[in-house]
Amino acid sequence: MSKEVIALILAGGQGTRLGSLTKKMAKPAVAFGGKYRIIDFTLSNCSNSDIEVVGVLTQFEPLVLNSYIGIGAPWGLDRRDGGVTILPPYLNEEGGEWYKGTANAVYQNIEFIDLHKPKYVLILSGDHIYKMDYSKLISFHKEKEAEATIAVLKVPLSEASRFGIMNTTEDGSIYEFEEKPIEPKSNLASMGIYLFNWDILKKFLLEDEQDKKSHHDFGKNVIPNMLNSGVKLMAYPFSGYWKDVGTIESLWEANMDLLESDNELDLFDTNWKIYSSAFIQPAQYIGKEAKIVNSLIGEGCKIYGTIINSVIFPGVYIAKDAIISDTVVMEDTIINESTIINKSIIGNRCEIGQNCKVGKTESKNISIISDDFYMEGGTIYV
Amino acid sequence: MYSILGIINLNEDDSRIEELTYNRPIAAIPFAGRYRIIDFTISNMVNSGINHVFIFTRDKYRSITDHIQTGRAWDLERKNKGVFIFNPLQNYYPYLRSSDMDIISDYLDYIYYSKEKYVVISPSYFISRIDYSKMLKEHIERKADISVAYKKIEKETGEYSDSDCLIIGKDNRVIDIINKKGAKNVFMETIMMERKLFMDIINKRILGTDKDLLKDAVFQLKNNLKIFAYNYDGYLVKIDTINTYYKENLELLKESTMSKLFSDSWPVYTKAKDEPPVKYQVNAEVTNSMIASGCCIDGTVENSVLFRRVGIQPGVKINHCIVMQNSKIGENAVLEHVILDKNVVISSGEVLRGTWDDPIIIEKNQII
Repeated sequence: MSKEVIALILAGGQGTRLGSLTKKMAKPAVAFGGKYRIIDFTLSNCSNSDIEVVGVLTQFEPLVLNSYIGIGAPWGLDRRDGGVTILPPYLNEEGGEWYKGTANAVYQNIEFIDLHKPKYVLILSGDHIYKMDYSKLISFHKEKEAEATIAVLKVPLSEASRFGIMNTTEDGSIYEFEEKPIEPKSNLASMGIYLFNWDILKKFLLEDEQDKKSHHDFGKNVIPNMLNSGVKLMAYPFSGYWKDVGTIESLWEANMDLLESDNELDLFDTNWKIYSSAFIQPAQYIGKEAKIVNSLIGEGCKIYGTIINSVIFPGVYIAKDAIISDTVVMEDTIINESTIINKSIIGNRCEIGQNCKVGKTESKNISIISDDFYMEGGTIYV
Repeated sequence: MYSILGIINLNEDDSRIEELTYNRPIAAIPFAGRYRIIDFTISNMVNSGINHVFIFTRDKYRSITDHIQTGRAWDLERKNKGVFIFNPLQNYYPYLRSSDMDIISDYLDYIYYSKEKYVVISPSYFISRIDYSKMLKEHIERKADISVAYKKIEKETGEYSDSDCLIIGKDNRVIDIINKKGAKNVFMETIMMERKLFMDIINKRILGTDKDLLKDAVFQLKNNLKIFAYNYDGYLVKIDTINTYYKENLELLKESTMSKLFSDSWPVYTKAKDEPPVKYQVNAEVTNSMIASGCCIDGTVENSVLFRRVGIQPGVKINHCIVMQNSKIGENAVLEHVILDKNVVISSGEVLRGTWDDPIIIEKNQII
């Protein structure tokens, strides 16, 4: 059966800049927002945009991610025809190899794509946090009779040199692509979201594979090659919340953004729900002496202490007289009495003893406690 | 291990909890912040290793069908077995069948074609953590024909006042069943036997019973069959009055009670709703309360249970309240001893005060 459009989510990134948080899992599996994992946003966007076939390309530490996605039921992606498929690198008659780059990862899955005979292929990244209706992007692509469409976001010109920048003509067609330009000519940054006509993309992927000098990367090779060959490339303007949580700082910031009362990433919007694999936890219990201000608290938590400006994941226990501020505490962690934590990210299943001090409010850096860490009482870790 | 067919019998008297059961059976009443009452019995069955569950409804079954769906939340979406809902056959008889014996007998072929050696029949309105596999072990050891579960209570506190009680003789044989104040062996309406015997009982003619209710039919056979009492000793509440519903919900705010009902080794499953975490705003003051996901709180909440997606605006003060899913409370409203059913809207400045023994109940979808 043919599908008009299928989506491929690139979820193989190692996420080295997230340090110990990605020691045992790929970046898209990192927890976010008191309940979610980063890839929930892309998967939910697919589901809410009625995309019925989704391939997830994994490579680095795939166990957590694979078992999390499963057959895709939490996102409504367990479908008779298609649904979600995990696509790791594989061996064939001629051997096999790791995914060498974003374009090569898609190249290695040409057979999977051809199986569904799509007209369009949507390439997504598994480590961005945003809500986007891809069906609008697809309509735009058709309306403009484009052969490739790239979603772009307006960024402050001062920051534009950190991104891949699209220079466009008035009608939105791209005439130039500059990767991290020192003197940017425009502020339209690529979001790493590409919609291609499959026949065109396939041709360029086959060519790119033959090019020994290529990095096999969409931004560095495939898009520039398409531009040089006169392919009709359009920029699709997106406005709204979008964050690439590539670093500890941006992950922490993205969590804190959720606490702003007017945050654009409205998790409470029932028209665009973000789905997630459900936790089996009872409702949270807030104790007699607890104090919670401007925070997000997950299911099954037991809170007896004070929480200010923080994001707390399910199953966390926070004892009496503990004070948590500007902090992210992940699943099933225990924080004992009279411990004070500021501006930190505490990993999953940790136990922090009594009277500890972690992190500093005025510090520029975020203190990190990695998963399964046990901290003796009285420890000071700043 | 022998396999058990789980039967949930929703032929439950809801006359004393009328305000919460206009549109739903007792089984579908929300409980403990994020569950429906039936979740506890289904989870007990699943946790006991039962993977084939029949739910027999009596009336108002829409909310049960909606809640159970394919049974996935309980891991009962199976290629073989899994969960089935059987509603009374309509347009088939000139009157609505209301006896559980009749309702079940209309579906006897499903029980006939099941492969499990044993059946356990349980209601939903007794909330417990009973392990049916332990009950079966005792059933087999005693070579019982029928086993019935009960809990021995220390003193008559009123919450089981209208329950049937067992009179138990030597060797745990059941002598009789009585409905009388002061009795202490509360019958949990949970009955276990071989599937073949169950079919014979439902098929009244075979064993010569003439009762319409399953429990009456079972005890009618007490002289011919070996009926043993199985002692359950754990969390048990019966939710069939407003009073017990209100108090038992708030009782869960005690750590000691909460830990009897919930533990990692005996999880309670329910349908996922994909709600975000609870948002506490800058004016939030929440103490001694149970809060479900998706709530957004900017006021004062004390000694209360809030279900999913409840909205509490600034200046609101609520104390000793149960607020069900999706209800919204406007600025500066004051509520004490109030039960708000689903989707209720309380306007700004409204004041409602019930008492501990007589809480005010606001019905579903009302705007006050």
